[in-house]
This record gives sequence, structure tokens and C-alpha cells, in this order.
Amino acid sequence: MITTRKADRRALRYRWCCLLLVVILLPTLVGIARADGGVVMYQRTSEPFTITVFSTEMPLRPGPADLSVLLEQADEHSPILDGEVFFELTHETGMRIRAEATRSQARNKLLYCSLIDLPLAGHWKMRVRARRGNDRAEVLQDLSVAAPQPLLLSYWKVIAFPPTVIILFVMNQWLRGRRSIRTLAGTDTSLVRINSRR
Amino acid sequence: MMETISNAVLSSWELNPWVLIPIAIFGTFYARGWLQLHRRDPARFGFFQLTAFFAGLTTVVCALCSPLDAFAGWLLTVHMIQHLLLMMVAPPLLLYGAPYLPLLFGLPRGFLRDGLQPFLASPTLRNVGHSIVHPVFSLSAFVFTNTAWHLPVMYELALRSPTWHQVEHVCFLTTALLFWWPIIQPYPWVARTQRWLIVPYLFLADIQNTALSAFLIFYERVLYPAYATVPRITSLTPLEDQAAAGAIMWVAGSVVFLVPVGLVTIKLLSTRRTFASRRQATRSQLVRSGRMHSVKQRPSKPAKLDLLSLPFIGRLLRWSQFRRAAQLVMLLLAVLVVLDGLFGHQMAAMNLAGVLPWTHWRALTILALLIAGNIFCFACPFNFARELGRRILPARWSWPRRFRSKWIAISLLLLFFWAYEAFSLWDSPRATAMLVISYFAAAIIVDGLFTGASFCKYVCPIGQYQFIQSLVSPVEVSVRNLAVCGTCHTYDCIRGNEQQRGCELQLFQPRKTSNMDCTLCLDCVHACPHENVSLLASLPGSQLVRIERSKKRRNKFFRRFDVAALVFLLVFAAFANAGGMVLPVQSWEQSLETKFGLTSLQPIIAALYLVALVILPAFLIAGCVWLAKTLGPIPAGWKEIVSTYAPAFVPLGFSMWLIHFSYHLLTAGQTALPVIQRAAMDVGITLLGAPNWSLSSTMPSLDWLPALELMLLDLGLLFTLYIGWRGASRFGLTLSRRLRLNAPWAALAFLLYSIGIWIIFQPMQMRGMMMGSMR
Repeated sequence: MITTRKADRRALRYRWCCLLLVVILLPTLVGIARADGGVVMYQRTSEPFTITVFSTEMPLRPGPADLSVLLEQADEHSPILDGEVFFELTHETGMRIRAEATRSQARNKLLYCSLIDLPLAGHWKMRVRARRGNDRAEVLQDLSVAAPQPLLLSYWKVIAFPPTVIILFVMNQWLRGRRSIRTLAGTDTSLVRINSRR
Repeated sequence: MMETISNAVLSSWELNPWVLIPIAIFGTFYARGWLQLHRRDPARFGFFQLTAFFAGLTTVVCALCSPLDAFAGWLLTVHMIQHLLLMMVAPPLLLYGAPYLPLLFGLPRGFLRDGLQPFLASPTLRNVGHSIVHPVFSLSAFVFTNTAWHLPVMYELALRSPTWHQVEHVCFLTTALLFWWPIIQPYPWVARTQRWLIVPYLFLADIQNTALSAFLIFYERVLYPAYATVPRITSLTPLEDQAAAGAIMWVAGSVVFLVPVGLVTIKLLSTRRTFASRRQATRSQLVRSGRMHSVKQRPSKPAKLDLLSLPFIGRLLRWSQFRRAAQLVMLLLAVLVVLDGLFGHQMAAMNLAGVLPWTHWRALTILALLIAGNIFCFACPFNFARELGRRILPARWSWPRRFRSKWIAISLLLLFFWAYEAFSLWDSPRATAMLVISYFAAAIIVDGLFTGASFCKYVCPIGQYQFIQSLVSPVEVSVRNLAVCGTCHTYDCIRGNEQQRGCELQLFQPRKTSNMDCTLCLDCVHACPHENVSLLASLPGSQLVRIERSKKRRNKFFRRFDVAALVFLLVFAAFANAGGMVLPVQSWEQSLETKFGLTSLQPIIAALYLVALVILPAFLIAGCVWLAKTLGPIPAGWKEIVSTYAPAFVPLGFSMWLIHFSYHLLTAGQTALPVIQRAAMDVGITLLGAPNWSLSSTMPSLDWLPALELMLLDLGLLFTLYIGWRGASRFGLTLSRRLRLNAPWAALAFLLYSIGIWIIFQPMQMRGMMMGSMR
């Protein structure tokens, strides 16, 4: 009885630990993971700043786009960390998106980052405004957003999950079948197995 | 200023779930297995192994989540350090932890026995395992991977795409583990090659490393153009950066490869232990310590988590008035919904009856089913009506024998699903209020006339829905020890006693194997004089697996055709109900209305629901039965075949309900606040402030939701296929016949899964909400 209680307590402790782990790790799944930086889209000098714009993946496609900016002093090429950066994107149809890029949103803390949801493919004009004290600069760049990928292609990893598990399961059943045939025929020479007793 | 920049650089950490979650899983399993092995063999599994393994995991985290990763795309030197950590530091540390046995011991026992053991015992796979850690293969793989990923085209690809960058890291880590395996020889692996071969093995690796690093140092152009375009945050030019990276690779590589050469050589010259004696010693040690044994030894049953023994929750659940308190809260909410539905604003999105039952209550109950259990029945507000009925009416007749089945509830469910669409119940607060009132009336009449919990067991459509979905729940009322029930002669759990009534639904605990028909009332828990009935937790879905496994306590529910019909109705209704809210289906309904020249959608909806919930399921199931009987001839009637496979479809239906309702909750959960504010203002309560209707018209950005929904559907499908496979075991067939018997049912599951994927990708109509079309 005492042993059972001990086992119960151990199982309970283990499950609580697992639960705690899930609770701690779950928030990391949502929104925290960023991949700012990536590919340099363009670099412009607009006195007194040099502005480098990055995107995680090229070409951009409709949906969330991780855009980030490195703001540097044009003469010294030293990163500026106390500035303010704003994106303004205008689609060819006239649709306009404004967003502030901040260092707090960035993983790379030298960058100003913003997660912008691009609703449409096509040509956009991207205006980046930077400001630090009385110094201001602005750069304008054409941006091409490619057509969205087919949804099945976008989510292929999740959709490929069941076939992968099914293949492994079929292999599992096949190996078990073969093993039982070998055991019946007396040809299974594997005398020892890993002890799963706890 | 420099201080600030260095601070910014050093604070560039990332909580990357794709790294942290696998690391946490490996760490947990290792620690769990190590604890068990440490108790048995502290010399072999000591603190050195534990420290080494966790140091290896920490190194991986440092390489992939630290500023090294954030600046890898800007400086080749930083990228080189990251790769060296992944290839030369983390793998040896992980292998010094002798991870094979601790990881196996740390796995859940059932998974190890049923899932992994066939692979581990397969001679073919064992040979594959031995081959990939053979020095020839592991060195070739290491050298090839290292060289291939340093080619400019591959390196640039990894710099351009985060996905390819992850693939590169996985390649580096896995081939490095294989490379270090023959050198470290983690216990219990025994080398099949001579130890002296490790010396040329390491020399060859060093030659490749030296050649590659010399190329980086002496090449006169920038090898990877991406580094020429990125901003320079140090004084190094791209070429100097490249040379520095080559120097790091050269020095670190030489140290890491040549030090073990020296150590192995010294050991070879000093040791007298031969390969054969070590192998023999290893095996005899294993047998002595009891870690290897014959196949016939079977593990003991694992302990289940007893919720009633938990410190706070247990006490709360044991408190006899807890259920009453929960019911009172739900009754109060029901009264508010009814009053606001009848007398409040008649726009659904502004009324408690239009928001709380359809957006919040449905989603919260199914989430509760997934996380805990049948919480709705536990806190059911209609219990007050049932008790009122018993007081004002005779309540003396037994429920008619011919109606002791689920057919009445099935009919009511069919009626409800049709009425929901036909009368747009979600869009009519008054209709919702009337529905709740009629529910109360039905509870009063049925339990006022008949004994027991006839309403819950035979009539309540919500109850039937809850019973079926609760088969997926992780919590069930069950006996702690069957042997104790064997000595019981009073059967208080079903008969009751002076202080406490027994189970009103006539579920006898020792024979109960699932949550079917259980309202989680806990009457049996309070009645049992031996305190042998409790709330036990297990993995979600394990009840469905147990249905076929349990031969002694076979579940009678899943031999009943009415239960099978109920299951299939709820499964098909899950897809029909979700399908009804997507734009293409609604457009199709309207085009049919125009085509047939009708003035109302009612006949179209009625026909579609008849097809979707009755005709199509009947046709598909009949087809599956016919094919199953033809392909895998079995001596079973069609009803038995249907009843066998019905429980298998519960997880697929459950996942679709969960996807549908949680979508409403996640996109419109915030609408409750302004509606509550409005209702409060209507009765003169200004404490909550004026309603903020902007919350009702804006939707949060949920880019991750489709992936989550697909994952839930994936899990539903896999559970369905697995339970179907296990269900077929009752016919005792060979593997090929079992496959043929399962094939039509698997095809049906895939058909429903495809429909589910299609629904997830369609634009959703936020019916009854202030938002428009979504996705």
C-alpha cells in the first residue's frame, strides 16, 4: 500500500512537472518567436541617417511580413538605438497601412521591427520615416508582393503529419507481425529486451 | 554609446519554441529515465552523465536562441561560432550523458512497449543503426555535410531562408552526433571496430576541417555575397570577417580533433581490456543489474492521477455543496440570458442570448471536455428544474422500456440541428430564450413524471452530446481498486444510502469503463463507504482505446446500435454545422434557391440537412459495411460492424466541434464585455461603464489559427484511424485481412478529414456578429 502511494505521489509529481512545463512553454508558441533581420531588401542614405530595411523572406507574400530596420548615423555608421521608425505602405489600389517599428518587438535589439499584415499581392510603395530628436529622414522604395502560395503548400508541414504517422504505424505493425512469426518459428534469437519495469 | 550597443547585442535572445519545446521534451525524458537508472546503477548513471547531457542541451539553446543566432546573418565569425557549438561542443556533451537508456526509460511505458519496441527489436533497423554509427559512414556523412553546406550556393540559401537555415542546423547537429558516436561510444553501445581506427578517423576529419578553413582564410574574395551587403557593425571588412571565421574554424577544429587523438592513443597504450572482454562485461553487468530480461516479464500497471487526492481541487470536489454552487452560477447565467433574450435589444451581437450561449458557452464546454471532463453536466442549471418537477409532480413512473434508448435524443438532436440553421437561432435572442425556457419545461415534466434521471439519460440532447464528446476527456469517475468492490455487499454507489443517493443513471462503478452516460455528479463518490470511487485522470482519448482492450469489463454501450447512430449523427453534424458557416456553402444555398424559384431558404436547408445528417451518412456507412464484409469477410452482422467502428469516429467529430467553437471564441470572445455592459446599463447599473462596441466589430489577428486547427484535425484523424484499427482486433484477423476490413472506414475518415481541411480554408461568415467575412 505504501509502495502504491509512493508510486502515486511520484506519478503525480511527474504529471505536475509536465503540466508546469507545458504552461511555461505554451506562451512561446504564440507570437513571441520572431525572425527579424534576414535578407537586406535595400539600403539608402538620407542625411543624417543610413536606413537598411530587412525582410525575413523574399519574395514577400500576402500575410504577415516581418519587416525590420537598422538605423545608423550616416557619417559614423553607428547604430542608433533611441530613434523612432515608421512604415507606411501604399498599395497600387490606394490601400494604405501604417505601422510603427520598435526595438521591443525585435529579437535583434539593434533593429526596429514591425509585423505587418500585407493583405494584397501586387505593387506597393514602402515609405520608411525615421526620427531622432530634431533629425528626420525618409526613404521611399517600390515593393513587389508576389501572389500567395496555395494554402495546401503553405500548410504542407501540418498536412504531411498524418501520412508520416500512418507510415510509421504501418511499419510498427508490420515489424510486430514479423516478430511474432519469428517467435512462433523459434528463430527469434533476441533473448534480451530492454526492461520497461519501473 | 558603445555600452548601449553592447547591451543591445547581448540582450538579443529569442524564445524560439521550435528549439525550446524539443529541448524541454528531451530534457524531461532524460531526467526521468536518469532518475530511475541512477537508483539502480549510480556508477554508470552518475551526476557526470546528467551534467554532461544538460550542458549539451544548454549549448544547443545558446547556439540557436542567443545573440549568436541573431547576428549570424551579419558576421561570418559569429555564424562560425554558432556552427562550431552545434558540431563540436554540443554533440560530445550529449553523448557523454549516455542518453540511449535514460531516454528510453524516460518515455511513457506504453509508447515504449507498443510503439518503439518493434523498431528497436527489428534486426534490419538494428543493422541500420549499427551502420550509421560505423566510422566509415559517420565520417563520410560529417565531411560531406560540412563541405556541402559551406558551398556558396548552399550557404546563401540558408542565409536567405529561415527554413533552410533550420535544415542546415539539423544536418550539422545530427551528422556531428553520428561523427562523435564512435569516439565517445556512449553506454551501452559496444564498438564493432578496433579502437585504434579512431586515430586516423580524427586525423581525416581534421584534414577536411583544415582544408576548408584554409580556403576561407586565403581566398581573396568574399565567398558569401550576403555578407558583403549587410551593414557592418564592427570594424572588420567582409574579407577580414571571412578570414577570422576561417581562423576560428582552424584553431577550434584542430583542438577538438587532435586532443581526443592524444587521449585515445594514451588510453590504447595503457589499457589491456580487449574488445571481446568489454562486450562480455557489458552484457553480464546488464543482466546482473536487471536492466535486461526476458520478453515475458510484464510491467506493472501505472498509477493514475487521482484528482480527489489533490490538495485544493480534491477538497473542493469533495465538498458536497460545490456542485450546487456551480449549478447556481449557471442557473443565474441562464436566467440572465432568458431575460435579456426576451426583453433586451433584439440584435444578436448586442444581446446576452445572442453571444453567451453561442460564442462562449459552446466553446468553453468543449474546451472543458478536452482539458477536464463533463463540466457542463456537472454544473447543469436544469437540475434545479428536475428537482422542482419531482416536488410538484408525482415522479413515480418508470421510464417506458421501449424508449430506453438514445432514439428520442437522436430525433431531438436532428430537430435542433435543422432548427439552428432554418430559424437562425444564433441570430435571434428571443428564439434562444424560448429554447432555454422549453428546456427547463421539458426537464420539469420528464423528471416530474418519471423516476431516476430519465431526462438526462434518454431525452436531453445536450447531455447526449456531452456524453459522446466526454469519451475524449482525460477525467473519468472510476474505481480506485476493483478488488475492494469485490468485497462490497451494499453497492451504495448505485443503490445509495441514508445520507447519499446512488447513481441516478444506473451506472454500476465496477462495470463502468467510460464516461458514457456519466454526468459527473459525483453521487457515487460521496456514497461509496470505502472511498473507493474517485476522479481519475488519464491521457485524453484513452477511454476509447480501452473500449476494445477491456475483455473482462466490456463496454455494453458500444454494442448498441442506437449509440452508434448517435455517434455518427454527432460526427456528421460537426462537419455540417461548421460547413454551414462558410461562404461557398451559403452562396450555393442561395443559388439553389434562385434555381428552383423559391421564396425562402427553408426547404433548401431542410433538404440539405436531411442529406447531410441522414441520407449521406446512411449511404456512406452502408457502403463501408458492404465493402468491409466483402474485403475482409467476417462472421459479424452489419449492426455489429457499425457499432464496432462508431467509437473510432468520436475523435474526428470532437476535433471538428473543437475547431468550430474555438474559432468563434478566439475571434469573438471579446464581444461579451460590451454586451454585459449594455445589459447592465439597461437595468440601471452604470458601474461597468458605457458599452465599448468597437470590441464587437474588430477581430484579433490570428495568423496561427489555421495551423492550429489543422493540427487538431490531424490528431482527430489519427486517433480515429488508431481506434478503428484496435476495434477490428475483436474479430481476430490476420494483418492483411484487418487492413482490408479497415480500408473503407479509413477512407470515410479521410473523406471527412478532407472536408474539414476545405472548411478551414474557406472564408468564415461571422453570423450573428458585427464582423463580416473572415479569412
